[in-house]
Amino acid sequence: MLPILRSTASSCARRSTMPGFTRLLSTTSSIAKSTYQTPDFDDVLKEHGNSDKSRSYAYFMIGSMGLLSSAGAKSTVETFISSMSASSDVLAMAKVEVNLSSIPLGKNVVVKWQGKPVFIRHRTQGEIDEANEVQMNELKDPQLDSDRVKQPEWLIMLGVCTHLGCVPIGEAGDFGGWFCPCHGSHYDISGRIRRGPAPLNLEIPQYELDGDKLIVG
Amino acid sequence: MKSFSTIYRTFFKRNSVFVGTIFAGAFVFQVLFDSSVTSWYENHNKGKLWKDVKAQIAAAGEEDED
Amino acid sequence: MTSYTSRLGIKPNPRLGRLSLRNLLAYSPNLMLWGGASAFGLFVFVEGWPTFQDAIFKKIPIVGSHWNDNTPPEDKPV
Repeated sequence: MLPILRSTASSCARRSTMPGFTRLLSTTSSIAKSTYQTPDFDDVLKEHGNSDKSRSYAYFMIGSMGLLSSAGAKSTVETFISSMSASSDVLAMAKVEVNLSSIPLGKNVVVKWQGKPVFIRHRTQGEIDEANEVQMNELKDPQLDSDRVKQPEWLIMLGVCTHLGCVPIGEAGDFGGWFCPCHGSHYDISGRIRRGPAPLNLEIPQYELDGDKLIVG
Repeated sequence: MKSFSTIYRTFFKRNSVFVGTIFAGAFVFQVLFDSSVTSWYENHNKGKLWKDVKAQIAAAGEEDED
Repeated sequence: MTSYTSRLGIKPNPRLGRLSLRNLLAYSPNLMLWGGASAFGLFVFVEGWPTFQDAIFKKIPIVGSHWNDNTPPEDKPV
């Protein structure tokens, strides 16, 4: 069945009655002279529908495809990148475990952790009291002893001088704590700087105490 | 039908708003999908997961102690 | 009575290539919306990153608890 052909003039006349096409009225006269014929699509054209509705439907479908694919892309990328993160054996090496029952009272122990020395001291009650009696205004880096330890008899700190990184010597110095031989920094029985060029107290690492076990890191 | 026009104007007209809504929706979708699949999986495998077995062992341990 | 000038009636528009202050100001609301859209895009992709989880996601009022890890420490392999 051949499509019904209509001349451009009659199809333009129909178009010109639609809103927005009134401009064509000015050219109708010249088009009326045209004899170019186009097929008549009126039986398959949609009823004068809401253009915003059809656009909203189309964009909604496109948008939800975009949504699902961006979520999928993120999952894929995350799978591959997280496969490159540290494995459990490497993470296990990041921690060190120490048996505290082997450290007698009043003694220092040095443990290597992540390449750095960690000082562990089993403090006596006298030393704990001495640490608590220090006034904050005497300290270059004021910090309460109770803020530096979880259990007062176990002092755990990084053995790295805060000046330029040398390892202080234990049971030395004028304050009953540690003494750094490089530039003469004195630390007290809580690891706080008292005299010398170091600016900060000895750093306290992340650790957990579990009965007789200490896990640093 | 005016609602379609409002929806179109607020969400689909500006591309920046469209793309922003898609990304925000993807974020929300991730959270919801993750939690719903996790809860379905844990419900489907109830009794076989470690947290259920652990609770069972603890309960059995209390009975033994008595 | 109006008076007419014999000058050219245009003002030069200060610009830097194709950018000009007026053009930039006209675009600024749209550029802010694009900034917001790219922030949401970033959030989608870094959802699994603990730094971003602690800084942003856990602080969302109601759903922030989704990112909290409640497994007891004895059940963690590391």
